[in-house]
Amino acid sequence: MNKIDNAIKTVHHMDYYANHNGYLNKIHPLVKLLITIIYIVLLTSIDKYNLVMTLAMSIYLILISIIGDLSIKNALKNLKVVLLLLFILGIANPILDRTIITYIGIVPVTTGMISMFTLLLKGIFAILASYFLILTTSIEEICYALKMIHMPNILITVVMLIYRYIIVFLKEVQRIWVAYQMRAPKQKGVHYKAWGSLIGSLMLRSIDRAQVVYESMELRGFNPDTFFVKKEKVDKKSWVYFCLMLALLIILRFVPIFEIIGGIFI
Amino acid sequence: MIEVKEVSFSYNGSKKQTLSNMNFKIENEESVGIIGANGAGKSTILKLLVGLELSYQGNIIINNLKVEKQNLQEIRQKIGYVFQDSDSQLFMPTVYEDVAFAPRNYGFSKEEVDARTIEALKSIGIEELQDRQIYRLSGGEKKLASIATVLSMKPDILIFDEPTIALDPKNRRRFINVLNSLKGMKIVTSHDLDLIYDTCDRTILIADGKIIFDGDTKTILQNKDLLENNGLELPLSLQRR
Ligand SMILES: Nc1ncnc2c1ncn2[C@@H]1O[C@H](COP(=O)(O)OP(=O)(O)OP(=O)(O)O)[C@@H](O)[C@H]1O
Ligand SMILES: [Mg+2]
Repeated sequence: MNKIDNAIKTVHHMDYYANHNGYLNKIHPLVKLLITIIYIVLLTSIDKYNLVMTLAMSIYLILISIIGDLSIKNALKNLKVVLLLLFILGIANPILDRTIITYIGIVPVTTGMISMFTLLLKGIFAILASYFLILTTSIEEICYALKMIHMPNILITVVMLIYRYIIVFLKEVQRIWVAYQMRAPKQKGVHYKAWGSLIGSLMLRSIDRAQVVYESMELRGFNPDTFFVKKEKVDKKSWVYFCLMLALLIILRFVPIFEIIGGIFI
Repeated sequence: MIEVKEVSFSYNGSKKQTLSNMNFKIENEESVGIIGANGAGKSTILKLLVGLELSYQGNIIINNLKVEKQNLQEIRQKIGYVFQDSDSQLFMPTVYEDVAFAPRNYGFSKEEVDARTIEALKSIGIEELQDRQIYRLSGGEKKLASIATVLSMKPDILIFDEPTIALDPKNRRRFINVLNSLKGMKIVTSHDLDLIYDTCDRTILIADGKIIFDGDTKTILQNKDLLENNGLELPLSLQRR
């Protein structure tokens, strides 16, 4: 099944990227994690009608995509399902909140429309920021960083395993799908009578396999108490990156730059 | 040394006894083949040895440590185990990462991890695959990679469950040579009796979870009747005699 194939490829591709040697990959994972968290916190704290400031927050993403040589277009393509969900969530706003504030031509603009756009943008930006973090930081490094901010081991292990199991799960879907197709070649999709048993065996097999993968990790010395500990200190370059990014984020969030720039030209 | 004393075992929730009253000892430098028909219990006994199933009756002692929860970490450091199914064995993004996983966990320096990883990849002849993503490997390449993941641990005890199942003749030969060049204890299960013949001095034949024969490999592999009664055939290399 092509879609599953693509999903597996995407996950592996992300993993591969994360282990690549780009500029952002060399920044200390803790710094990247903190900056991403700060970005998302600042972003979500913007007033829901403040479309302009929300837009300004995109400058951070553009900058990251330039330094890290990451494509925003590809990112949006890979995340389209999530974006669709966001859109469905946001659509309620213009329906519930219909106070008209201005007109563009003869089209009325309501506060609900503004808040829908801000919400959508906030969602997209937050997802992009996390996605860029994952693209430039391997899951192990994210786990080290989580350990450094004293997340409990059990949660970190879960984060790491979920990530590993996504692939295990998708592969299981693929195997069952292929096995089914080979023996029911005339069928388009899965016959409704077969759904129950297919999903049942999918669950059982994924759990089984996840169990074996974990065993295989244990057999090779995996131990959450020591695995996530890394003695690497935050280096100078990463400190500089941290300070600059923090400054940028604060400016974007608290200084109405677009209005100031606009003011210069008026 | 591995000592298995009066071990019986049944899987959770199954009434059937998978292993019954097993007894054997394996010395440190021995290489032992475990053979038997499908479902005889070969994989099960291996799982018990590394503590993947702990609810057994009897005693399993490895280097003077009983296989039980509190000793697992120490025991497993000394054992390299290659699963029958390589998809379960490999979980890191690339071949290199997967082979480096164990030495990293044991806290070796970066250089040592790198040296061990490259050495393991080279010995099995797949150093050119090191940057490949796991999901792009063929079945046999996956098998070779999973063998490398335990070689990099340099364990005292090596356990292989059906190691040659996906290998072509050339890689099978290569694996046999690697196996024969390694020191330490080796335990191999296989339906490939020629492999057992080429690598193990001693063979244990099991059927229905019981030991039917335990002794010299040549003796058992020439015993046509005993093999055929237990769902196996003479190795090819002995058939023409
Ligand atoms: N997880 C499990 N739960 C219940 N029963 C199991 C489980 N795994 C194996 N068995 C049963 O235990 C018996 C021994 O299985 P085992 O995997 O040890 O056989 P094997 O000798 O390795 O066979 P093969 O040559 O096919 O690999 C079989 O009858 C099998 O059906
Ligand atoms: Mg088996």
